[in-house]
Order: sequence, then C-alpha cells, then structure tokens
Amino acid sequence: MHLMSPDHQKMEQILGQSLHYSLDYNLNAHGKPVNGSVAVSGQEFILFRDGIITKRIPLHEVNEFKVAQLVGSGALQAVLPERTDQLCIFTQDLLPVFADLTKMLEYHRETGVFPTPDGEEPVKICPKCGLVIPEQTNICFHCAPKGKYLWRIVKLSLRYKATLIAALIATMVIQLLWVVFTYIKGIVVDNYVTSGSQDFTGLLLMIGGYLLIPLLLFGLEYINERCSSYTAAQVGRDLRSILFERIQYQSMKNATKRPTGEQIKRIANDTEKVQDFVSYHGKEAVVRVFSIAVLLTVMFWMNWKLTCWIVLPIIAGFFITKFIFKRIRHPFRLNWKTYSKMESVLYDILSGITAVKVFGTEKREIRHYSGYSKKYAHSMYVANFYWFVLFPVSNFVVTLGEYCYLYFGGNDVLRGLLSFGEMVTFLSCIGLLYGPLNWLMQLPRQLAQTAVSAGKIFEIIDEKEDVLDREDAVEKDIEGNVSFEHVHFGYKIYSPVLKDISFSVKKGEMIGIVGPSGVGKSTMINLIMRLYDVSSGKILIDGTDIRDISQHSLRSQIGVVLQDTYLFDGTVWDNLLYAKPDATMEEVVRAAKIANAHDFICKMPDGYQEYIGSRGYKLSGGEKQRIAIARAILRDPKILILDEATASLDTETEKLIQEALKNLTRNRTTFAIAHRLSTLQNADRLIVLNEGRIVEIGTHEELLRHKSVYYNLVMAQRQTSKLSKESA
Amino acid sequence: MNDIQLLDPAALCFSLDENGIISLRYQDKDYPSVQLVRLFPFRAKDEYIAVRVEKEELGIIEKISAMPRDQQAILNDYLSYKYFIPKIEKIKKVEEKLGYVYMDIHTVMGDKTICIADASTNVRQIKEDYITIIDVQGNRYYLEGLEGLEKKTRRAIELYL
Repeated sequence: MHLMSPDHQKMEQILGQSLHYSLDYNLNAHGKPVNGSVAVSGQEFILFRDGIITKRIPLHEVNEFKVAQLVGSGALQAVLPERTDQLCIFTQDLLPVFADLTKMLEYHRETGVFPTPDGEEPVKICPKCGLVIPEQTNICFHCAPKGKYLWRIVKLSLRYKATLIAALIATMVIQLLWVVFTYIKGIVVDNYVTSGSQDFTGLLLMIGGYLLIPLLLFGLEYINERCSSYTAAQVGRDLRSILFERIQYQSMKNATKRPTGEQIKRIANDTEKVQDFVSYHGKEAVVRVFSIAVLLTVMFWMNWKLTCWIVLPIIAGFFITKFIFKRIRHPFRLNWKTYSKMESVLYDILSGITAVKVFGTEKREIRHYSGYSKKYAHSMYVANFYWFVLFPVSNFVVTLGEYCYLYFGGNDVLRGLLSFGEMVTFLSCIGLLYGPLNWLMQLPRQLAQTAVSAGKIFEIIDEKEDVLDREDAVEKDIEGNVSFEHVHFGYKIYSPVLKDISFSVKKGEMIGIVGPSGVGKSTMINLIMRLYDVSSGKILIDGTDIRDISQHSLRSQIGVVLQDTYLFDGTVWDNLLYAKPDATMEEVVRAAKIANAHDFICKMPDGYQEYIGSRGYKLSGGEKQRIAIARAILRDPKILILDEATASLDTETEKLIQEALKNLTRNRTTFAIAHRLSTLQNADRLIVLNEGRIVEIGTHEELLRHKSVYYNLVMAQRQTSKLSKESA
Repeated sequence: MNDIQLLDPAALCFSLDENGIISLRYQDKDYPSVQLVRLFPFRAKDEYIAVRVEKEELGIIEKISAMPRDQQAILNDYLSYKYFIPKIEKIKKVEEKLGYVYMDIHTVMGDKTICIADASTNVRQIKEDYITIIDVQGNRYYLEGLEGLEKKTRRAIELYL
C-alpha cells in the first residue's frame, strides 16, 4: 500500500500515536544518501532521520504543502505564514508518491478529513519482477514473453483460417513433391541409366512424372502465393485499422506522450513487419521444420549410417553459426545505428539549409556529415569483414557431411551395398536439407524483431484510457451555462497547473481568460473540451458534470478557433465540410460570408473548390484563420473557444477577423484567450489567472479600478506598445 | 536589463539550512530563499551559476572557485542535491527487451535495475568521456568514460551513443 513507509509501525511506536501517512525520503541537503521518513499524524507533520525525530510541524500552521521538481531531485515544501520551509529532499523517482501525499494533505487542509489513498499506486510496479512499469504503458517489458505477442498475431491470422491453411498445405505438398522428384531421379538412374533397361513404357512414365511435378509445383506455388499474400494483407489491414482507430480515440494525454513520428512508425513500419511474419516467416517456419522432418525420415529410412555422417557436421555447423551470429550481431547493430545517425544528420542539415547558407557554415556541415559518413563506412567494413570471414567457415563445416557422404557412399556403391540411383537420390535429399536448415538458423532473429514490433503495436492497443465515456454517459443538448467547482488539475501529478478554480458562466456570456504565460489559460479550455479530466473538483455544463456527457456529444457542440489553424490536404470546400459533413452549398457560402472569407475565396480560380494543399500552404495566416471561423460558424456551437485567434496577424487582417468573430460570438457562450488584452475589452467578464489560481474576476473597467494583477498587465502592455511605437 | 550582471564573489554570503534552503546576503540585503542555476551543467558545472530570486535574476557567479572556501562548500552542497545525478560505478548487465533497455547498475544509492525508454534519446554522450542516462522515472545518472567498463557492457552501451 502506498503512503505507508516500511517503518510505519516503528514510527507509530516512537510517537505513541497512530499515523495517517508515512513515506521515506533518501537525500540530505548535501546531496548524500540518508535514511529518512516523513509521517503525518492527526495533528502534526513529523520528520525522522535514522529513526530519530528531527522536526515537528503542527498541520494547522501550514498554508500549503507542495512538491518542487528540481533537476536531479525533488523536495517537499511547506508554505508557512512567514516563510517556505523545505521539509525533505528525495530522488526523482519518489516525486509521484510525494505529490500524492501533498494531495492528501491539501485535501485535509480544505476539509479536515484525511482521505484514504485510492489504492491506485502512482508508480506501477510489476508484481512479477518488482521493476517499475513505464508510465505510458501497463506492460512490464522486462517480463512480457515475446511468444505472447507472436501468439496474438497467430490468433489474428486465424480470422482468415481458410486461406492460411490452404497456403500451409500448398507449401507442405510442394516440399513433399520435391522429395518425390528426387526419388524418381534415383529410380531413373538405377532402372534405365545404369542397367541399360529397354522398358521404354516405364521410362516414359518416369519422364511424364518428371515433367508433371514441375507443373504441379507451379500450380501449388500460385495457390500458396495468392493465399499467403491475401492473409498477410488482411492481417496487416486489420492491425492498421485497429491501431489507427485506437490512436484516434485515445485521450490527449496518451496522444501527446508519443511523438507523431513514433505513432506513424508504429502504424506503418511495425504493422509491415508483422505482415511479413504472417506472409512469410511464420508460415515458412512451420513448413521448413516439416520439410526437414520428412527429408530426415526418408534419409534414415534409406540409409541410417550415411544419414548420421550428414547430420553430425550439421549439428556442429549449427553451434558454429550460433556463435557467429552472436559475434556479428554487435558489429551489424552498430552499423545500423551509425547509418541511422548519418541519415538523421543528413535530414537535419538539409532541412536547415537556409540557416547553413545564412551563417555560411557549409564547410562545417560538410565536415560534420563526412565524420558520420566515415564512421558508417568503417562500421560497414567491420561488419562485412566478420560476415565474409566467418560464414564460409560455418558453411564449410556444414557441408563437410557431403564429403563424408561421397567417401562412404562411394565405397558402398563400389561394394554393391548401395545402388548408384540411391546415391543420386540421397545426394539430392542433402541439397534439399541444407536450404531449410540455413533458413531456420536465421529465424530467431526474425522472430525477435517481429515480437518487438508486435509488442509495440499491442502496447497501444492494450493501453488503458484515462478519459473515458461512462457507461451511462448521455447525449445532451447544451444551452451553454458553464461552471467550475473547486477544479484542480496538473498534467503531472507533482506539478499542479490549476488550483481550486471556481466560477460560473451564464449562457451567451463572453469570458476573457487572461494572465501571464504558463498560468493555465489554455489548460482551462482544454478541460472545458474534456481533452483531459480534472484531478479533483468538477466542471458542470447546464448543471451536468461533463464526465456524464458523452465526449462526442460534448465536443460536437463546442467550436474552437486556435491561433494556429490546421487545414487538411484538400480544397476549401473539403476543409469547411470538416466541421459539418452534411452542410449544403448555401450553408457553406453563408458561413464563409459571415467569417469574411467569401471575398478571398471568390478571388481564387477554382472558388470553393480551390486546392489549398497540405496544411493549407496556399493560404495566408489571416485567410486560414477565417476558414477556421467559417468552420466554427458551420458547426453552430453552443460554446465557443477562441485561443489567441487574432494573434500574429497584421492590423488590417485583424480588423476583418475581429468583425468575423463578433458575428460568431453573438449569443454563444464564449471563452477567449488573447495575449493582446485590448481585444478582450468587450468581454462580459474577465477571469485573471496567476500561478494557477483565479486572482480576479470582473469587467475590464472594474478590474482597472481594482489596480491589481489585470491593471498591471494592461499597464505593462501599454508601456511596451508605447516603446515599440517610439522605436519605430 | 540584457547585460550580464556578474556578482562580486567576495560580497556574496550564502547560508544553507539543514533542509536545503539556501539564503543570501548581498550588498547589505537579505534574500531568504534563492535558487542557483548551472547555466552550463556539463560544459562548466562550477562556472556561470545564475542566482535567482523568484522569477528575477540577481546576477551570475562567474566561478565558484573565486569564492571563499566555506562559501564554495555551501554552494557545492546545494548544487549536489539540486543536480543529484549519481555516478554509475558499475554496470552488471544490459539487455534490451521489446525496445526498452534494462540495466543492472550500481551507484552510491546501491544496486538497481533501471529501465530506459527510447535509449537513443535518453542515453546521451555529452563529451567523449561523459555519458548521461535518464530512466523512465526521470532519474538521471552519469557514466564517466567507457574504458573502465567490461568489454561486453561497453559494447552494449556503444549501441546507444
């Protein structure tokens, strides 16, 4: 159980009273390891060092408990009336548990109740190995068996049983036909070549079989290829769809914790590797094992002594190959790493070619790239050296059996113990045996790579979502009344962004959210859209907790205009319809007119069907912004969010956008964030945030009269604008 | 002010309480709690130390070594816990499992198995003989030189540099 030190009982005995919480810390103020504990009783916060009480603070004297994240450590601090005390220092891994403790203490400070920890550990520990499970997943990668993921892939392939089994049977029959083929070869040699038999009927039959088998092989190969590629394509499609769907529905917290490139890699590259496993490696592994078993059975049946001469060098070769793979793994991985590094350096330099030209650093970059290129060339040379030196040795050992066979087999032929035909058949069988054996030796590496890719795919698929629709979530027609009730929130448990936020907004009101950078303005609107769930407290819309409204219903009634509008690859029409797929042409044109976008759209050769390119690169910032406003109008939202919607625009464009926004905000509950405070003068009320708390609420005039935080912000901005005008 | 305000080392009088709060008396003024920031934590960890009070910068200490010995000790103590990055004294095992690197290490904090996600980002070679590692819990470690390591371990680390 967390918030309970292993020495909890010992501390209770020393204090002679029961404790609510206790935790161990591990560093002192000199950066040296210590054995320390903190304990919370009904009245006090107590610090222990080596089992001795070092400090006691009455809880009622503390205004706030907080956790500070330092560079390589963390600290628990108590804000007292006159100063801030640092209570203890600990390593970074203890930050989440200490943050959990402060949450409990803050709750106690507000309510007088010591809450019971909810049982969900802030740090997940694998019950099997005791190691920490990475925050973004629920899987212990240390214990997760690779086979488990491969088995899940096999199970997924079983959806296409018919084609999978058809491909498997076709490949097995192919292998059997090759054995028959070699067998016929032996019979032809014995019965018609060495004996000089004149039985042409028999010979023709044999030749017929000889010609028929390649035809059969061709047909079976066709069936195998069709069925294998069909199954693999379907499994790949299924995986990509499941994964893409999962990524689309994941919460913002989960969506933003992995870079976009990483997610694309998982959907594209990892599914492709799994697809290869289904179409080739997985199925072939079964077939090749089967093929080896059949060949060895035939060979032992024909002549067990000679077979032993073949098998012994193969076993020796197997161990040598294993050793070689171990030896060459490192140079090849190093070679791959240096290649990726060289590639990323190349990408970096070419992407920043303008900077290179401007700074005139061409020579430096040439040296930079050449260094990596040289390293890559060297690593390739080393890797290939091992490959070309060691592999011929292994191949020689494996094929030693062939020489043994030629010697002992030849002797048997001379002594009449073995026919020449049998010798030819046997030799062909050896040839057939080496192929699958060499292939199987490389299989473990392929399986490991597939398991890694499968693991990464299933990690996302199995991920636990933190923003979920409740089972009884309702579809609700929103009117637009919004209230925050004691909302606390932090992206990380140990760093709260919003603290005790409470306010109410009536439908149709326009609220400006202002405050210095990083105080939680955007976080506040993220919470209204329920991109994240509050840590504590609640947000109500028309009296209903937003967690009781389905996410789709909630977001479909909220319109957003952000500073940086994202437009998808396509036409103006496609992008406007993104907000309302069933909008009519009339609705679209009307929305564009209200958004002051119609005029510039008319100037484009293809009007509303003008192709605006990826991310709308053909449009200016102001034009993109008006498209965004038109989208919001089309959506007809009850709640509107404007996050720096007019930032970084020239005065003329801003005027057009302000006009458009005025049309848009009419009769809608609006939350607007703007760096330029003058743009929020018309707001019904302004909420001023500072250090995550609401410090002022009122109209522009009221807040100016207060001469507090908002007044200072306005004055500072006026001063800056005056200075920039003077310098211009 | 955009000018660099270098602080007079002789005029600085820091004190560190038993729980790590560092305070300063400078030019007859008391600052009950200040923060020290290493501006170049790897390149010159004892030079260019910014002294900040709340969100304002008081100035920069150019070199800790220019300060009196007792003051140097105080600053080093504070910086030791703020920038607590234990040295990896021994790596017993390195293995990669499903894209995560697990390392059995020994530091001043004892033996531990750490898990590193995205090793190519979280294992960084800062200098020829200085490597930093950040594990999935945000703990930082450093490794000085690869020469002292066993060949097998060294080869394993090389892959992520």
